[in-house]
Amino acid sequence: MTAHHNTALIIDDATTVRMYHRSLVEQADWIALEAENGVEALEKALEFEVDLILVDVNMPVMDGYSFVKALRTSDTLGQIPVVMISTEAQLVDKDKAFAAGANHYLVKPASPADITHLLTLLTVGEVQ
Amino acid sequence: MNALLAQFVAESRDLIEAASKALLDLEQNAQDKEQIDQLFRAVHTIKGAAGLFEFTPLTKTVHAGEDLLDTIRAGDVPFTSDVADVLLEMLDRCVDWLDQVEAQEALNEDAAAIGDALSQRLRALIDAPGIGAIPELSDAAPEDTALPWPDDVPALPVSGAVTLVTYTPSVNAFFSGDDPLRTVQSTPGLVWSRIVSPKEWPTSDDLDPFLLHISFRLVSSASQDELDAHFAYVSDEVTYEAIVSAGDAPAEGAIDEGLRAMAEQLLVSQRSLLASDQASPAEDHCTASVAVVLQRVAQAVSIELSPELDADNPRATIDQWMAILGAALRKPEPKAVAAPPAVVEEEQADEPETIKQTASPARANSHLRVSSERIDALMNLAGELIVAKNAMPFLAQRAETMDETGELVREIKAQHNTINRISEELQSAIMQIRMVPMSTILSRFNRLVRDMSRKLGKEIQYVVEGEDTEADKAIVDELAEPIVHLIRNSIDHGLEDPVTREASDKPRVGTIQVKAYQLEESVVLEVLDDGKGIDVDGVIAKALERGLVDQDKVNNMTRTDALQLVFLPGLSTKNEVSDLSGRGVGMDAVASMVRRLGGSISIFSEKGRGTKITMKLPLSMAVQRLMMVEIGDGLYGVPIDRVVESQKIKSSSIRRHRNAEMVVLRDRLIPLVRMRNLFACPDVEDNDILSVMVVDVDGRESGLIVDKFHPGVDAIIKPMTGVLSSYQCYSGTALLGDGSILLALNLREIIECQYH
Repeated sequence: MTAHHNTALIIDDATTVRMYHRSLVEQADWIALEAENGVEALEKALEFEVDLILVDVNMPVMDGYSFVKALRTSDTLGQIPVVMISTEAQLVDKDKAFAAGANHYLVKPASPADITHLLTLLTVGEVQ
Repeated sequence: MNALLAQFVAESRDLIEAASKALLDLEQNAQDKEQIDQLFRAVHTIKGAAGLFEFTPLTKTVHAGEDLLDTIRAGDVPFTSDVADVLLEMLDRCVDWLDQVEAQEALNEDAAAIGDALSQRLRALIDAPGIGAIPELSDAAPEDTALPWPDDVPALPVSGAVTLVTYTPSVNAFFSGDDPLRTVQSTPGLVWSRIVSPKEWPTSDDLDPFLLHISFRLVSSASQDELDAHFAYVSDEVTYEAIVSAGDAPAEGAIDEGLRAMAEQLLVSQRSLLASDQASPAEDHCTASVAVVLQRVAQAVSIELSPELDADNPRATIDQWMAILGAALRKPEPKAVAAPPAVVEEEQADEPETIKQTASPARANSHLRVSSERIDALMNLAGELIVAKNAMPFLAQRAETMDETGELVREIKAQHNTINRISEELQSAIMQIRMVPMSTILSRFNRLVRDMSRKLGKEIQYVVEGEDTEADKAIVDELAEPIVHLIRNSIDHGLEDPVTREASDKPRVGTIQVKAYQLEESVVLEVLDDGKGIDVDGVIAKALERGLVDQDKVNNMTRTDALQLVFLPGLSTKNEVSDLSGRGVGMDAVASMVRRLGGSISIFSEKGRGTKITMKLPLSMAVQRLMMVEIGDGLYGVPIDRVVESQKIKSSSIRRHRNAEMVVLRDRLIPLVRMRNLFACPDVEDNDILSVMVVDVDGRESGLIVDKFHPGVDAIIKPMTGVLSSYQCYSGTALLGDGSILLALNLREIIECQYH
């Protein structure tokens, strides 16, 4: 049995939010990668093995929707689960997230419990 | 303060500054789409981050501001001065609140009322006629139904409503057979507990160890009935508060329920994703990601998925998997679902605060926020290294007397060169860290100019040039105050009101310009206005009236020299004190602030045309290069950035004029200071050739007659302390490599001395 080291890519333009998400991700014994916008995130995703992406919606340069759309066109990165975390809480916003290709949607600020649960549920299991 | 909160405060301050700047730019050009976007984004980001903490008034207010900006962005509400006023007030309020958060990690009690009032005013602007209904604050804020999460309780892995129990056992608990700790530890549904020590412990003499002084805070997910039953015997010592973990959907019960609920939500989300319209090839990849999610969830909750994924028709397999998972999650098997979260919980309980070290390759961020103390410490060390390095030439000198082949001397010199190069590079690298652009302070004054000009009914534009010019953070920070005074002076005394300006054929809108640029090892800042200028005769008259100069001296002054009198203490050209600029702080205070930083200041003004004040400051305050000169038997240092040139002159070329000695160097007339006289050393009259060091003080050149020039050294000048600090002719001391002390000359004082 080889333990896989789970890696999450945190994308948000607010340093505070990234720091918050990072602390939860690392508490769950995941590796945290950070990016400030979609473009930086795509570069990180290409460079490292990423198991889960937590992405904000409203960001400069490349927003969350465009990021997920771009990600989903890639043969190598397209199947990575993506959780969108945004301050917008309306149904339309949720629909937009799914239309862009997100696997889940959380309203910001996501509680520690929600993120911890998500990480538990989306852990890559041991390779038998 | 915890790191996250500190980060929030720092980041929000930056964002507020950016927002203010964008707002003021917008006032100039309300159509600037880019500025609106930037303003919106800054406010949006603050709101997002604020939501992580329980600063409801802050979050609420910023949210209202964001909604207002959103309607402005959409073009539904025009951007007017009124809108700008309220938004600026919101930003000011946020700064206040951040100050409070920084000081006490909480907002003052009045924050809620202030926040509500401000939010209402912001929202009132959205509801202006012609605007459709504005959606209500979207999600039902949990803090409305239960108390917000208390500050002293860390974020816990719980969902929804829990109970915060405060248990204060009787001081005599040990005598009544109670075991408070055991009671706490056996609390049903215990998630977290903490021992609270009393605010003040009795002194060791008064402390009775048989009495119980502490109390407990604990969080439990158990129902109120269970808690009542558990604490039945100590019910009068226990208080309960219902609290809700922020942003959570209310959950019925324990922690594993939260995980199950999240798994169910994930399933619903996967259905939504599959139902959404996707173009190819995104569609296939979305399907693949859903398969990944389902497989991981199944593994996490220990559910077997079958059959294997059909690569040709993944949708069919996924539908089957969904059915299996959905059924399993609806009827949770306690064992299967409870196991994984228990593990998570345990790990967190063990080390809740630690951020685990992992060998991640991508830990590095492109920017670091480092406290300035750490950089200062580094700078001091580099400074000491530079001084220590100065010992090498002395060593080489001593070796010369012992070393016949000269090999050792050569090696020491070679090593000196290497160490010299490295320490210089080290120093400049550290200085680079400390360099910040002038824009960090200059952009703030937009607001000052705007507010003051509105108040005084003047129309003024503020222009900044060279805001990218960098200087040491300490210098830049210290410069803020003098610049504020200068700008205030210009607005208050310099610039005229629009009517007067038009009458004198000037543009209606006055201009204040701040220019920053680097000149050799100095940074130069100019504050210019196109106002009415300074009345030189008025300055002279006032200086005479106050007895600051005598008539004789005035007769010898050029008009530019006379203008510099404004920097003398006790001279103010405006008779009445204005409530804006005249708070007892005049040009003399500005000048002394600049000089304290080792800088110089000069003024140039033309009546009716405007005024220009030039400040020249060192780029850095740490290590300075000093030129050493010998006077009498002593060595003295002169900051090299003050030295214009070193010259040998014939004593016969000295001209006398009204008790002053001067020399003509090329086309300039340089007044001379005999340093030997000043230091009361005996004259060396037989010297026909004199060494003159020409220095620049506040834009005026003077020649110091010294005995001998020595090479320059790098040194850290430490200010004089104690009794010595009253010797004004020295600016400080520096340690030389051979352990001796070098006195650095305070040139301004020396030249003043000579003239008085």
